Amino acid sequence: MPTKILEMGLLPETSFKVLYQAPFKGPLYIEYGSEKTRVALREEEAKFIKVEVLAL
Amino acid sequence: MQDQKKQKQLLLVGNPNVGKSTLFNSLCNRKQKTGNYAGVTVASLSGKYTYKNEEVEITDLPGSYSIYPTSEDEAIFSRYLIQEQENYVGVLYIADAINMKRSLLLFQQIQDLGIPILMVVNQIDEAEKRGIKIDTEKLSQELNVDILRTNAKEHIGIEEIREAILNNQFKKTSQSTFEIPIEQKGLVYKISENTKDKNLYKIWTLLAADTYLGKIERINEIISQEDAKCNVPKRLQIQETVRRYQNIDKIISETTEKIPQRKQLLTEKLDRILVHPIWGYLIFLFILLIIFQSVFFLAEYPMNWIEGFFSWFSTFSSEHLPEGPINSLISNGIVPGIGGIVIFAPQIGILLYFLYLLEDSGYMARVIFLMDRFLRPFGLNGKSIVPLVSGTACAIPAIMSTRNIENIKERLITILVTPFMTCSARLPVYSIIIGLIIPDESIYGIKYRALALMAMYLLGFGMSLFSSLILKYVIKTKVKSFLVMDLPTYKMPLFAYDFKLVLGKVWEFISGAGKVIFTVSIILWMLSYFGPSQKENQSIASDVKLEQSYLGKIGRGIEPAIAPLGYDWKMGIGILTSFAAREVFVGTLSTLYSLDDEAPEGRLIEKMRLDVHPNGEKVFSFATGVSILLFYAFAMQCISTIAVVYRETQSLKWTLLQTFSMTVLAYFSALIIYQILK
Repeated sequence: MPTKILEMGLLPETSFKVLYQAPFKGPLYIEYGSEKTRVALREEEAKFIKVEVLAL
Repeated sequence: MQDQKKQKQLLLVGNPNVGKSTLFNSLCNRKQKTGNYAGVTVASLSGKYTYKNEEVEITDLPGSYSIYPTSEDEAIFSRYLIQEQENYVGVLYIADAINMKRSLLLFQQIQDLGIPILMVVNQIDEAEKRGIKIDTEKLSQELNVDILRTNAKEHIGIEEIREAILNNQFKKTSQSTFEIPIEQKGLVYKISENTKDKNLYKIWTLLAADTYLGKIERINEIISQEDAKCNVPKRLQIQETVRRYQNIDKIISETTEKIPQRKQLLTEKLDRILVHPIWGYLIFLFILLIIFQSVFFLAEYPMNWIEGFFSWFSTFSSEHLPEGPINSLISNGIVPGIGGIVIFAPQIGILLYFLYLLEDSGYMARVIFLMDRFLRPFGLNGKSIVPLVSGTACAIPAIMSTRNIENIKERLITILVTPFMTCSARLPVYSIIIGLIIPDESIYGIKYRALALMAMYLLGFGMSLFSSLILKYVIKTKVKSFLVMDLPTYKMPLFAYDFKLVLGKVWEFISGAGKVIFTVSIILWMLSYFGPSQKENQSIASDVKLEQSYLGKIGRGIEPAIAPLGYDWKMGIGILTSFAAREVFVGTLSTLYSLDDEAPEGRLIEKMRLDVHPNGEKVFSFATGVSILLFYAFAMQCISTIAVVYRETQSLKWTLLQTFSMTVLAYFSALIIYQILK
C-alpha cells in the first residue's frame, strides 16, 4: 500500500465517506476525518482500507 | 551601501495547497526568478526582499506531505532540505489552519532533523469560518516553536513574519518528538557511534527512506546483511507515520476546538457539478474549447500588431541603413527571423495563463480525477493530463510538470509522448501551410481552415495515445501504479501573480528561441550572401544569386532525400534549420524569400502561394502541404525539448530513441502521404 495514504492522514480508525466515483470504475472521491479532508484514490488503493460501516 | 546589508537565506516549506505561493508572493516583492532550467538540484522558485537593511532570499520548495518522497518533485524537496542545510538559516514552515493535523506531520519531521524552524499558520480566518479555533499560544508551547498567524491573501501578518525573520526566531529542538522503535534502536545507536552523528532521527530516516533519498554509502558497510533483512523501509515509514499521528492527535485535541457547522461549503457545492459523470466532462471540454478559442482569436490582435511592427521595422532598416551586406543581414536576416518568433508570444502566454489559473484554483485536481480512468489503459496516469494539455503550449514546461507523477513508468511514457501534442511552435507552420492549401470557405459557419487545424490537434493527441499504448508494452517495471491525490478546496486564483509568472515564461521563451534564431539567421544569411565563385582567380563570390549561393548548393544537395516527400530545396533548408526549433521554419522561409530577388513581392504567404517550379506547377501544392503538416506533427524538431527530456529522464537511451523514432515516423508518413496524394 502506498504510504502516502497514511501520510495524508487517512489512518486506522478514521471515519470516511465515499462521495463520488468517476465513471467506469474510476477513482473514488472520499472525505475523511473532522477536517473533512478530500482525496482521490483508485479502487486498488481503496482495497487496502479495512472498513466498518458506520451509517448508511 | 550594498556590502553593509546583511544576507539571509531561508526555505519556504509546507504541504501542497496551503497557500505557500500566495505567502511567497506577498513576502518577496522583488527579484523573483523561476527555476533555473540548467540546474540539477534546484528546480524551484526563489525571491528576495529587504527589510530594515537586511536582504532575505527565500526559496519556495515544492509542497510535500512528508520527508519521504513518492515523486521526483518531493525528492527534490527532501534532497534540498537535507543536503543544503549549511546554506540556509532556517525553514519558514507554512501550516494550514484548516488541516492542522496533516500540517504537523511534516513539521515535526523537519524539527526532529534538527533544522531551525519558524511556523506560520495560514488561513486562520477561513478556519474560523468553519468553526475551527486554534489556541496558537498553547500550540507554540506544545511544539516548542514560535508561531505567527497570517492571512496571506489579504496581506495580514506579513510585517510580523519579516520582523520574526529579522530577529532570527527560528528554533531548534534537541529533543525528538519521535522515539525510535526498540527493534531498530540498537542499529541506530551503532550507526550513530560510527558516523559521529548525534541526531538519531536523521539516522532513522536513512534506514526508512527507500529509493530516492540517496543513502550515505558508509551506512551499507555498517548495516550487516542480517540487519538489512529485518528493516523493510516502507514498514518503518508506516510505523513512524502512525506513531506520529497518535502524538499529533493528542496535541490537536488539546489546542483546537471545533464547532460543528451545518453550512455547506463552496467546494462541496461546486464539486457536485464539476466531478459529475456527465456535467463534469462537458464542463472540462467546454473549458478546453474556451482556452483554444482564446488562443486563436484573442491572440490574433496582438499577433497582427507584432507582425506589422516587424515588417515596418524591416522596411525602415533597409531604407535607412547604408546599402550593402550589413543592411541585407539586418533587414532581411535578423529582423524577419526575430519577428517570426516574437509573434507567438501572445498564444503561448494566453495558454499558459489559463493553465496556471486552473492549477491555482484547485480545478486541475478534479480534471485528474475525471481523466485517470481513461488514461490508464494507455499506460498513463490521470496526472498525465496536465503535461498533455500543457504540451499544447510548449513541451518544455509540460515535461517538467511530469515530476509529480509517482510511478516511474507512467512518468517516462508521459515524457516520451508529450512532444506529439501540438505545441505552439508548430502553430505558425500549420497556419501558413493550412492557409496555402485549404480554401477560405466555410460549411455551416465553420471554417474549413479551423477544421483542418483542429484535425492537426486531434492527430497529435491521437499519436500521443497510440505511442503510449506501444510504450506500455515495451517498458517493463515492477513498481505498481497508484493514484492518491489531495482534492484541495477551491480558491480564487492569483490573477496578478500568475500573470507575472506568464510574462517570465514568455520572456524565457522569446530570449531562448531568439538566440537560436538570431544565430540561424546570421548563418543563413552568410551562406546565402556568399557562394562559390565562377571566376578562376577567386574562390568565394559575394552578393551572388540565391540559387548560386552556398545555401542554394546545400539545398540542392539534400534535394534527393526530400524530393520524394514533395519538397523543394527552400523547404529542405527550412526543415534542416527547424531541427533547432520548429518555429524557425517560417523564419527561414521568410528569410529565403526575402533574399531571393526573383521571388514575387508581398507578404510571405503570398510569395509562397505564387512560387512555381520551372515547369509552371505550384511549389506548395496540396500534396506537398499535407506532407509538410505530417512531418511537423511527428518530427522531434526542438533542441530544447531534447535537452529537457534528457535532463528529466537521465537516460541517453530514451532521449535518442525518442528523437530518432519520432523523426523516422515523420519522414515515412510524409513520404507515404505525398506519394498517395501526388
